[in-house]
Amino acid sequence: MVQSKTFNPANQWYGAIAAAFEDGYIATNQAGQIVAFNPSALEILRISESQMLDPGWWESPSAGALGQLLRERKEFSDHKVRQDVPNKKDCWLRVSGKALHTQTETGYMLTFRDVTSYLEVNRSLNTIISSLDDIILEMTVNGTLLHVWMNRTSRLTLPWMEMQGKSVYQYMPERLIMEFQHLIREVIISGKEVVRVLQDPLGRNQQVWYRIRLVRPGTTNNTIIVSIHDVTAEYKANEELREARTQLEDSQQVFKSVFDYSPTGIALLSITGQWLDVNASLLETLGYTRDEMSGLSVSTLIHPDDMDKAKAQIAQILDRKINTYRAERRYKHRDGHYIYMFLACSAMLNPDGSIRYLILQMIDVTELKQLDSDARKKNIILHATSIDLQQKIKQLFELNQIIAHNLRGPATALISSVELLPELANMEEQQEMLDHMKISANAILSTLNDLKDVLAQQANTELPFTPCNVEAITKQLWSSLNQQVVEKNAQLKVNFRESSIEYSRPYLENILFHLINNALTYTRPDVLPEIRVETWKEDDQIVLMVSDNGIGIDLQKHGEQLFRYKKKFHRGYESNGVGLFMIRNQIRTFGGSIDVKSEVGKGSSFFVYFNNRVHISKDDE
Amino acid sequence: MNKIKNVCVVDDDELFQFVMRQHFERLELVEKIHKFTDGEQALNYIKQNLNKPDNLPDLILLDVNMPYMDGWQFLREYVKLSLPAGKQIKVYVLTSSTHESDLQRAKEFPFLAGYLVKPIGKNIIKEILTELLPA
Repeated sequence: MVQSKTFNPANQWYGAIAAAFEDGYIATNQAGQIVAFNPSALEILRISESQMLDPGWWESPSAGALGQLLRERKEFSDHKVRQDVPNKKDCWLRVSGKALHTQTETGYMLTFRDVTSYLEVNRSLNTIISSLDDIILEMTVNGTLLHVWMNRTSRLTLPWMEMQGKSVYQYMPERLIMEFQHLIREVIISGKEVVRVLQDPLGRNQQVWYRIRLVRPGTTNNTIIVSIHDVTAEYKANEELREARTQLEDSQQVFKSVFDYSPTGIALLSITGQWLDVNASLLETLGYTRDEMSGLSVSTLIHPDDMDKAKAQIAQILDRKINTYRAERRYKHRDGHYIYMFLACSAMLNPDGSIRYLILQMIDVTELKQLDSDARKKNIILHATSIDLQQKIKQLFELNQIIAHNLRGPATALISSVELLPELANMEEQQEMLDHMKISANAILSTLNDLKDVLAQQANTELPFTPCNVEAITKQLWSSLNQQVVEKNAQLKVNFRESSIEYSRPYLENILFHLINNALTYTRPDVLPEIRVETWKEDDQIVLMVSDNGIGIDLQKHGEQLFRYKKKFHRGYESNGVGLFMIRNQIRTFGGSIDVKSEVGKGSSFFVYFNNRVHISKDDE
Repeated sequence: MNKIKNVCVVDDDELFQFVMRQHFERLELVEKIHKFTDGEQALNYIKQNLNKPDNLPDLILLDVNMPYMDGWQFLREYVKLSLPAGKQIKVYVLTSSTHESDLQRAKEFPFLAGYLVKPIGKNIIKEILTELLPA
């Protein structure tokens, strides 16, 4: 029986061989006592000979996994076992257990080798592989799988544990087999790496793309390494990129054709106001060649009067307060004249939000402006003409009234009297009637003369308008009425805020004469007559006022008749009822109007409104 | 033979007044002819005689176009008067105007007996007076 480290003395070679084994071994007898071991075992486990032979040590926790295996005495091969070894952080052993049969008993032996460093390499390899691709296959040129490394198995769900030794073709759809064989041939012939992107290589009807890379590690070696990587995300991203690029190209194409062929002038402008690009239309509108234009800054073309507004708008864009603006500006044509441009400006931005350049679109609206101003002018003339026509209608209506009453009246009386004449036997009666008839005939004649004057006024609108000095005219009239002024001790007060009135001088004199004469006529005996003559401006119209402190007139009673022909309102005053009628007719003829305010016993104020607008428009006609 | 007591002719045309008077005198149907050359005078006369029905006119021939107070103004004042009970005054508007606008204006005064356009002959006057005569 062997009690301790003993080697069969009968076979010295056996002991020498055992001692030379790199693998360690430990053998026990049926009772579990250690009967043999070799130096490699001591070395691998880093224990002493006495520890090895101490059954107590083997039962202690220090014996670790090997102690356990010795007690279990199971048969196995090539288990990787972690063993606690003094002064070694990590120690993996590849261990095999075997029964030993002698003639009398059954012993047990563990053989083991330190594989720690191998496992470390393997682990690094796995780490490297997993960082590279989804799947790496090593296979023969015939397609037999030698090794399979799989990352992200969730995606492919291949039974990778069982794949070793099987044909790669049973894992791929029919349609890819031929193509894959071609790829293998290509790799063998070219000796170079071959890469393809295949859609759905496992035939699972998925929108997935895999990049397959085949490499032949060496020409003597009949193996091929296939690495497979899921590139769906990249593929889709590429697809989108391609699409985006196409769209971008399309829109650039569109912009280019718009730019080149648009009837609208378009320019790209730097933020410092230099022309970056100008289209043909704008060049044509402004009259410059491309070369001439590129040397100019925008600011040299904008009309000086429009400059402040232009600067303000561009500043707002540059400050990013607005993105676009529209404006109407005058731009200088190459010939020197200015063109009215309607323009829209918008900013093109860089990805960071800063301004890349400005896009300026401009249309020549000079003609439109002209049309617009023509239309306005015509409108004014039309308006004036309409006022003029209304006045003329009023005048005609008034003339009709005069004919009906002041001409037809005495005429009918004359007819009646002619019928009566034969019946008058008495000479005295005849004479009386003849006297009346004469008066009537004279009345008709005087009315006809007045009508003639009125018509002359209306026809004579060609009278020259000159600047009339109102003060001079008033003073002159006042002295011509000196007799009445002295008689009544009348006072004149003037305030001419508008010293000059553009009018026909004789007509203005006539208007002032009648108004001042009336003011001197209808005076109150108990107060000293005070007559005020004033002018001022009111809504573009010059107003002339003649105001008195005379007897006044009951406008409620007589208002509508005040300016009528041959109307009289005050008994006992010298009046033929023609003056106010005539001046209103004059005023109306030139588009003006006359108004009155009065209070019985206090005085009257007459206001003449000179319509300058009509006069201007008549010049335009 | 019955006669109409008072007739007022309101017109500023002296020739017309003269011719009317001649006609009235010749027809001998009117006792007294009152001449007024404007509406105000006629109105004042009527106002002053509201208490003397014998002096009030039975007929007024009223011209439209007159100074101081014209025919229309007279009519507006006239309607305000309160005439003695039972007193009937026929008012005719006489005008030389043939304008539709004047005719329309006359319709504002429905109590008018008529609207006459000058010239007015002897026959028309006779007709008007005959109508007025007490039966």
